[in-house]
This record gives sequence, C-alpha cells and structure tokens, in this order.
Amino acid sequence: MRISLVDLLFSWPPNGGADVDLYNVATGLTQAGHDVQVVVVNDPESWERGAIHNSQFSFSLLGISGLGRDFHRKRLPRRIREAVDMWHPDVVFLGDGFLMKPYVGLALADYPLVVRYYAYEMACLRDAFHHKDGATCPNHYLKTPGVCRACALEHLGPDIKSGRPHAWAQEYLAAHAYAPGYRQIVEDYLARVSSAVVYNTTMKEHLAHHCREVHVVPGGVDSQHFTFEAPLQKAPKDTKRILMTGRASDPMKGLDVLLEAGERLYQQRRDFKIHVTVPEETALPHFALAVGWKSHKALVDYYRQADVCVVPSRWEEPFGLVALEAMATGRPVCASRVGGLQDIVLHQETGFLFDSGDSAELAKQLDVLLDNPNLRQRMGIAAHQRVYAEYRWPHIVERHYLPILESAIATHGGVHTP
Amino acid sequence: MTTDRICAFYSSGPHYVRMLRCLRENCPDATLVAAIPASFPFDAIDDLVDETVRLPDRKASRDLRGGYFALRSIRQAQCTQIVVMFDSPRLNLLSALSGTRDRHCFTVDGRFYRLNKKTAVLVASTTLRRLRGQWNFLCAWWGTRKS
Repeated sequence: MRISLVDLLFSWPPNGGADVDLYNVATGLTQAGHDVQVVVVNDPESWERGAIHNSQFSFSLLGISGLGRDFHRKRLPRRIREAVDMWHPDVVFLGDGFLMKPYVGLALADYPLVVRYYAYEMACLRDAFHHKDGATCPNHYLKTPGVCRACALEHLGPDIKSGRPHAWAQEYLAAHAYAPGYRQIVEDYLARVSSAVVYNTTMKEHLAHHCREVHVVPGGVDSQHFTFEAPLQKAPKDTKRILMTGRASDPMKGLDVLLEAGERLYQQRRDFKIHVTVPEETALPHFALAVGWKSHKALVDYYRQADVCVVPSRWEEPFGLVALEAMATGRPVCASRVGGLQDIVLHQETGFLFDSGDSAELAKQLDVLLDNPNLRQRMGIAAHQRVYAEYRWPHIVERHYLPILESAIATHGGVHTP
Repeated sequence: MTTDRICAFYSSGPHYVRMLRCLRENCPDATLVAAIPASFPFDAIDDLVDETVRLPDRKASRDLRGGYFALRSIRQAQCTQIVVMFDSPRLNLLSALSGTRDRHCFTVDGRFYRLNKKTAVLVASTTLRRLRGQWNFLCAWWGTRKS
C-alpha cells in the first residue's frame, strides 16, 4: 500500500503523545513493507507546529512551509491536497490537527480517508479536553453549537487578542470556527470519512452517529525502551517510592487527589515517599518530592526505582500513556476509572482502579500495595505481560491499523486514481 | 557570558531551577538575582541565588499596571544582564526595557542564546501584533453573535 499520513501539528522531538503515536504508526507501517509519506505543516513561528530538528525517519517526510497567509481554510487544504496528489497514495490517514481538520479532510475526501482523534476536539470548540469547571463538560459542539461558540470565544479571547495565538486559537481563527456555518462543515466532513479511529469508548460515542465506522484503537509503547526490571527487594520498614509522571502540574491530572491520599496514608505509616514530575520549585507536602521534568530517556530509570505508579487523572484521559509505560517496566498502577485508563489497567490484576477524585479509595489501595511486596511483584509481572501481548507498536499496527486501512480502500471501491 | 549581576526572570515553565543551576555553574562569581512571583517557594532556590526581587503574581503581572511594577522592580535591582525562559515577544520586550546591558534566553533543552532585537523594533512589532489580535477578536466576536 502507498499511504499518506497528514498531520497539522507533528513535531519531532515530540511535543506530546500524538506526535509519538503518529511516528510509531508511520514507522510500523514502513517496517511492515508499505510506502509511507508523512505530510506535515511547518510554522517557524510556533513550537507547536511542525518543529522538526535533527531527525532521521524511516519514512518519507514532506514539510509544507512558507504558509504565512496560506494558513487559511481554503488555501491550506489545497496545498496539502497538492502534496498528497504528488505521492499517489492508495489511502490517506489524517492525524493530529484541531479545527482545520474538517477542511483538510474534505479536501482529501475522494481518497479512502481514515482519521485519527487523539482527544475530544470533535466535541469542543475551546480546547481538546471537553472538561470544564472540574468536570466533563455537559455540552457537545455538534448538539449545542450556540453555547459552545460563546464559550469558545470567552475562553480564547485573551489568546486571540495577544496577536500571537497558540495552535488551537490559530486554527479557530483560520477555520472561522466561530461562524454558524462551521458546524455543517464538520458534519459534512465526518459523513465523508471512511473510518475514524479513537482511543476509548467515550470518544467512540461522540462520533458514533456522525461517522460510518468508528474504531477504538489503543496507542502503544516503545517496548524496547521501557523494558521489564524486577523491583528492588525492600524490607518492610524501607521507604517505598510512589511515582506520578506526566504533566503533573496540570490540575486535570489529579495531583491533588494523590496528595490527599498521601496525607491520609501519612497518618497511618511513614514508609513511603511520593515522587512527582513537577518543576523542582513546586511546593509539596513533606512526604512528597518534586523531581522536575524528566526526559524520555531518564524516565525509564524513574519507573524502575518506583514501587507503585499512580495516574490519578480527573478528566476523561483519552488514553493514558504513562500508565502503559509504568506497566511495561513491571510496576503496578493505581489509576482513575476514566477514559482509556480503565481499558489499560485491569482492576486487581495489573493494579487498581478508583473513582476519579476518590482519594480515600486510592489511599486504601496504596496501603495494600505498600504492605505487600508479593502483590506488587505479581501485579507488576502481569502488567508487563499485558503490555507485551497487547500494546507493542508492531502488534498495534498489524492488528489494528492495517485492517482499517485495507477496509477503507475496499469500501471506497478500490485504489484511488487521481 | 561575563560574570556580574544577572537577573534570572521566572516564567511558568519546567526549567527555572535548571536555569539557575546552569547560571551558578557557569558564572560562579556573579551575583544571581532571582525575579520571582510573591508566592514562589523561595526554599527551592535558596542555595542558588544571592538576591531576590519579588514580583506581582502571574495573573497580576500580565496587565499593564502589573507589568509596569515588575519592570520597575527589575530596573531597581540594577542588573547588568537578564536571562528569560522563553523567546516570546512579551519577554523580549520586558528584557529590552529592563535596563540591562545583555539579554539572554535559556531554552527548555538547556541552551543559552543572546536576544538582540532592537527595542524600537520590539515595541513596533508588539503594537502591530496587538492591533491584529484585537481585529481578529472583533471578527470572531461578530461571527459568534450571528445566529
């Protein structure tokens, strides 16, 4: 197959999970013997869009640069279409992007088109989180467009007025997403895609009535980097390490829940320390330690030194890569029962699940794990085995992506001829 | 970078302590002045800096009055160099108006580089960008009002 992957935000080294995901899908498809081209949009003024430094890829990469005024709802899709046409792909995969994605999708819709959603950008005009005032937002752009348009303008106003908007607001302006007609563009685009790929069942429900096919496909983990290592044998009185990684400074990630649980635990026992990847200057209680942000390379050692990992997210985490990384290194994970986390962590097998925000339950689970090294080890081994069986990238590409791409070509009536 | 009075200006980001460590290491004889918000936990940097300048908290420092107060505090510290954490128009302008001889940026990946845009150019480009932003907001506001 000749496959074109189009991404409006791809940067390398990566800015986030979506970049890592697209990179691994492109690499996996190349390794499976397919011809892969990745088309990205370069914006030299933004670190968020197409910043690619000193990188070599196994796939072909084409950057669309010099956009300036061409970052426009008509001109950008046209330029992407020209780049894709030159490659003559059999199928197009549309990766990350925000509010310009419908225009780009429509420009490519006479190819078999598979689109990936990495978060909740289909449900919200203001950001990709669909999370407001500490809870999942009750509105949905396709159902309550008027409410969502007003909310988005209020939220994005300061960023727009600054004159140097971030990627989301940049696409909001370029796509005229504030206009009433934008909703119909989104509907038309979703109706024309061959299939949509999402991370979890909540996301699937958002798209189910608008797309022909929606597939839940998990992300994967670099199993050669995050390898298993048996935990250190510790005496009952030794200090055990509880680890929270990821963007822990973000309130949606639920650090407050972990610290509340730590407070409860500290009243019963003193044999633990919570390590958190927040800037070192962050003020934390005495039983917790801010270890600063860690590089991808350094992170694996942190997981290996941990006894238990916690992912206490408050929002509907689309996937939850940090849980997977911890599991790959053989550590049990306590995670909130939200979004993709509840699919990754098997309750009482590879760790524990607790209701989002329930610090009392988390404290109990941590207490059980800290008391029981055999349970930690058993769950850690089960976690590693689960990752090895289900979440290695070659396996994800072969089991999920290839059938979806082949099916898109078949249902489209065969290979596209431009 | 020569060694003298260096102002390390805090912005919300992961690399402030790393920046201070790096400055301390590269300029052991310099007087390191941390420009930090009032709520910043000083304990975290106590052993790295020589002096502090307390600034309004982040939200307050973004309006014109807060910005003026921050700038006045930095100028009063009479530093010869300033280091900021991001190469943004706002921080470029702030560093240009800080009264320091040299301006630098310390990036997330641990590199120092000199900021050398002229103040007049920075003021003009910031003003134009702001005007464009206001116009874009007006268009979005008008588009949102249409039913």
